[in-house]
Amino acid sequence: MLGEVIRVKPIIELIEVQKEYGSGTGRIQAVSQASFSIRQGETFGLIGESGSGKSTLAKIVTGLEHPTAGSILYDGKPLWTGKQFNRIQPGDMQIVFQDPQSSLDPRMRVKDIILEPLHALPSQARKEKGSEERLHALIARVGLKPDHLSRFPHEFSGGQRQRIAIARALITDPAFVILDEPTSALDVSVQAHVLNLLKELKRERKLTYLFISHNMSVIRYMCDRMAVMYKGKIVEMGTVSDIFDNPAQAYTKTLLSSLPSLHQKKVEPHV
Amino acid sequence: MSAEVHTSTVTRTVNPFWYTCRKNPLMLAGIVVLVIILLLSLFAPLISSYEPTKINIKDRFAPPSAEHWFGTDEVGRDIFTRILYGARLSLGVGVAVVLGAGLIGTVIGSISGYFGGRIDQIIMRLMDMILAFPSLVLAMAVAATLGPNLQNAMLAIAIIKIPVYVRLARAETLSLREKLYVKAAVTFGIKPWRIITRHIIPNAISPVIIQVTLDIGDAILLVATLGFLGLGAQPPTPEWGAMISVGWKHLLDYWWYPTFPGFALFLASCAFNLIGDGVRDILDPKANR
Amino acid sequence: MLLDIKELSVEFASMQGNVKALQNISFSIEKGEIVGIVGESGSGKSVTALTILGLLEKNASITSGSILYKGRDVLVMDKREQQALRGKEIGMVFQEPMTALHPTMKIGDQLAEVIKRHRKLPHKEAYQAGIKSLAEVHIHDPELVARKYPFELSGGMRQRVVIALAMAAPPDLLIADEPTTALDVTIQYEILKLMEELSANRGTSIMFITHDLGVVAQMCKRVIVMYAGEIVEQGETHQVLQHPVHPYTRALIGALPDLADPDEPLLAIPGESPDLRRRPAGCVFASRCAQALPLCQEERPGLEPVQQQNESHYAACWVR
Repeated sequence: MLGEVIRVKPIIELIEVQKEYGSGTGRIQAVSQASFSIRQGETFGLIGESGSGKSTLAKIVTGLEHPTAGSILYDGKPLWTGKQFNRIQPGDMQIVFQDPQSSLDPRMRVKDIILEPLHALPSQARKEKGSEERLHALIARVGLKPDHLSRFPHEFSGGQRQRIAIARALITDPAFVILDEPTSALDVSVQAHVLNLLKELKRERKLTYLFISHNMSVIRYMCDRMAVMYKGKIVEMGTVSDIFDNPAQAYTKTLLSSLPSLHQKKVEPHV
Repeated sequence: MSAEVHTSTVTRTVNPFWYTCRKNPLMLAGIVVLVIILLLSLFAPLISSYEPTKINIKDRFAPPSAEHWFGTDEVGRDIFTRILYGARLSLGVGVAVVLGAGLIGTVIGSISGYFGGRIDQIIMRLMDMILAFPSLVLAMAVAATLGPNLQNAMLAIAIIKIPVYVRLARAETLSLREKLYVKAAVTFGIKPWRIITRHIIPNAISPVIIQVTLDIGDAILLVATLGFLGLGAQPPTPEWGAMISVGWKHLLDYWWYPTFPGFALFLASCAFNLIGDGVRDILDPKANR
Repeated sequence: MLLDIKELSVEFASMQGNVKALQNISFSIEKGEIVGIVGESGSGKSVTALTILGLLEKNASITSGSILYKGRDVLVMDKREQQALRGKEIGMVFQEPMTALHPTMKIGDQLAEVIKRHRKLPHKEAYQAGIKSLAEVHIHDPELVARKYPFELSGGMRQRVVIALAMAAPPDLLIADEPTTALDVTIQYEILKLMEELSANRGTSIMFITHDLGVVAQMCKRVIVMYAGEIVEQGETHQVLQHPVHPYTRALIGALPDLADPDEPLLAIPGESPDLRRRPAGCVFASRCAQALPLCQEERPGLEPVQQQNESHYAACWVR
């Protein structure tokens, strides 16, 4: 299975991406020399703690911030030329954010929220993909009911809101979905539903995921390969099982041993 | 609070409107007064048998009586009737001016805040220029330059009101721009104009509505002030400010002439201010608690 | 027994009817013990803490029960006595350290202020005691940190300062509500170790509120599992986590991705938590429970010992 994955071409490729904020002495290197590629059909995990640069990287990939050096190829074509973001195929790349509470406009009805990404598409594609039939099939698939469409986000629980956000990301039939801490704001039992759903959707729609998280056990459960970020740099990269079984870097080891575990009681790795 | 409740199965047991009115009786009083004024002015032809502009010299300066409740003016027009018809004008103009200024100001302010940079600089310096003048002086200058009539008075008041809304909407936009749902829309590739109209303005509108309700009272006073100064509605239009303007010269001899229009003005602007305060309490629960 | 809560019920008034946030909960904390209270949002774990501290919002009312702290009922105390209890006898640490810190006051002065009040020391000595307490929470350069403002510190440092503040009196009971949830795992690990150490050295009891079963496993001798305002299971941590009895506890553990096989779906709990305005007559979990019997819908199960000879593991479930 692994050998098969490797032959597939990368959907997105980051080459020595850098991001600096500020100038002169107040310069901060948020991301330095980040290079990795994500192959079609895999789930690539990006893990790091606050300030590791993983969110900055997500912003660069989604077009919210421009890199100060390096390049990003999506489907072989550069995403950024200078400060200009090239939306090569609108809707081909989508994102699900961490906090569904704040990623859904409180004044919009669920139907308008889910259909919103279609407004970036040419009108022909918008009509096709926004048909009532497709919309209803999609919301049924993510576990919502037709009468939910006319409601507002505050009427839903956290888990349901994240389902709305997932439906919104899938309405354009993307090939690549960035999941930015999609379950960090959710309860454990709700997280289980959402993770299951994401896995199923990936299989059914042949999606490629970039899964950003600070939670090691979620990354282990969800991803094929992963990169560990620390202070703006990628310190370790490999298959999930390799990294969990044989972490090479000291930081990865610390990260793994800090994770409170249910059954093994206290090892003392920090000393 | 921390007891989170799933609100998907909401059953309303208390009507929110009455709930807030009970908590805020002053707002209710404002609404009642306003509704009475509105009904009176709307049904003015049924309530009064006089015409607001019909001159009747032999009845001039009649004191309040059963025939003329608020007396008559220097050419014998019934003051009560003129106040009723004047309410249409004063209230209508006040509301229209503030709504117009609110709408234009919000659009300009959200554009300024959303794009930032040079556009923002130019717009805000322009607004600073308007704000640098005392508002009444500027309104008088505009009205006098364009010619003394009601339309120009409205325009003048709108111009001096716009910067308030621009600042308000801009400040709101600056914080909304950082909201995740706005960022989400940007990543979807939604065009700025659509983001402004669909996300920014609907979410920035609460403080604007509060300001609008608080400003209507003020605008009514400003319309009257310009009328009083001869820069607004021209005679024989039954406008409260213009009525007071003529009437105050007769205050010592015929007290009723300026007193009743003045009282109407006071009631109307008071009602709007009470409603404005109430609306602020509802839409912005953080303030004033 | 340091803290003994009996049959406590709390309601919140809302426009849509009263929310019954806590329903007849009873538990106790011994001296020097670390007890974990675990549950998801809406389980009532934070409400429990706020009730003990007398910090409930105005729309809350305590409809039944008692909270005995060292034998005295906290609920019948007046405002002043409650306030004296807070801080001096019962320390608190919340998720967001900034809520507990004065934003424009230097760390050293804040500590001195608290120590002056509790230990009746002159300022200079109180300041020195504050620096000592910073060293005790393993802050390496306490003199330097004492001269800083809260915003100059990292999240982990701030939480250490808050713990130093909470331990300043020193209290006999520390209530910690998700103290490490906002922190990175590596920092969380250190803070947990610190709290454990402080408890062991000074005999302070800790009521540790969290949503994270892993943290409970690491920190707590005993755990109380809450669901929809009720205690569904309680007992020794290793017993509850390794041999959970209540279906909710089992489901909660099964929903964790920690040990799950990536090729299998996670065990997710069907349905949603009940509407706390209209509690069911029977078991609160029955509507989502795979093993529910007809009895479960009708009658509320009490918190009973799991085995007759084992008086330390309790569960509220008809299905045994």
